[in-house]
Amino acid sequence: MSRNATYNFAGMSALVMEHSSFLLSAVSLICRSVGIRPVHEATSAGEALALLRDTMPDFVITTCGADGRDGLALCTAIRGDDALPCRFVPIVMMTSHSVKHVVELARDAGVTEVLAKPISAAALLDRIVYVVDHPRPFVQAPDYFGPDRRRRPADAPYNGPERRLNAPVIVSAPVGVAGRVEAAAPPHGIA
Amino acid sequence: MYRAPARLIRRPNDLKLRAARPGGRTLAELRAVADTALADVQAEFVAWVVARLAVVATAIDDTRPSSPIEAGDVAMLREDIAELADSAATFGHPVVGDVARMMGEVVALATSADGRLGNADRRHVELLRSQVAAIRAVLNAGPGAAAAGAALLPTLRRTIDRLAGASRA
Repeated sequence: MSRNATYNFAGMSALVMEHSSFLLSAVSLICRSVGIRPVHEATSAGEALALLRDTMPDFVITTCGADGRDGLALCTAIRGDDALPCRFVPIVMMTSHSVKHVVELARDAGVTEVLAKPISAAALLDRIVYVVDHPRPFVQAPDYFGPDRRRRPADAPYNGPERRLNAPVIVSAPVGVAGRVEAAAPPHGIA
Repeated sequence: MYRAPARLIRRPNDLKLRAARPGGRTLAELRAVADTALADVQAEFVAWVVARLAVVATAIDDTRPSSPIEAGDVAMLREDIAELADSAATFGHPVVGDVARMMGEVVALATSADGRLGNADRRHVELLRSQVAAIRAVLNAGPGAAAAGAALLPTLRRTIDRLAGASRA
């Protein structure tokens, strides 16, 4: 992101899920103030999922919740339901518990970016701009669907344990395709 | 080690294309716009905190070993305090957020295995009351008094650490 880069969020939409009504209104206000409209508001994962069946937001911003279950359940539901049109949507999770364990749970649930509370307008906008500037490819594996969890430049070597059976087969999915990804032909080793 | 087949899906960056349309603003400009919008609701936030504090203060007054509040009410109290801690800094009151976070620690220390405030004694209750009073003082004094409020934090911290040490002993 260059300092002079400009961003026009007009016409982009968001869904915000937050239990606290005041924080919900604050996050929505931040989004609206920079042109993101409409901003759909939900106070629970169930409410958010109901909204997602009829809308296709460009961003989902969710709280992790006191015990983490509600926000993680929402992420798991979004990534796990290939009937949802917004399966690829960037998800920013706000959490008061930015401990390693919670961040790992969020990562494995398919969260795109984690944002530690207390949030500020600057921090939230930084995350939104980051997901716009740095989209991550999605990984489809038997036990995971979500953004690639290996955060490194594409040309940098991966030094961790190799858990992938095959070199990832790259599938280009056009914009507008719903959650279901149709590959031209299943790669070797993938049923 | 379990190894799984993986498929990497790359999609065109539609968001980047749309955000790059004419009429955009720099990140610094966007931040300034959002900060101004948040400032407009800060007065509402103070009113909201005062109402939340009243709820918390009532719960603290009910915190007596002879009449312990129910586990469900303790959970709600912790949620109220966590909400206060999470939202205060967002609305320009970081000291209130810090004190609220410390209140959460004290309530956690006072909570027994059954989810009630079974470990609470006079020290916990007095500390919680002093924390509620500190938040009220900071809010009443306005944003200019943040430094004075911040000066309270080390004392509150030491008191909590002493309580935690006593609990472990």
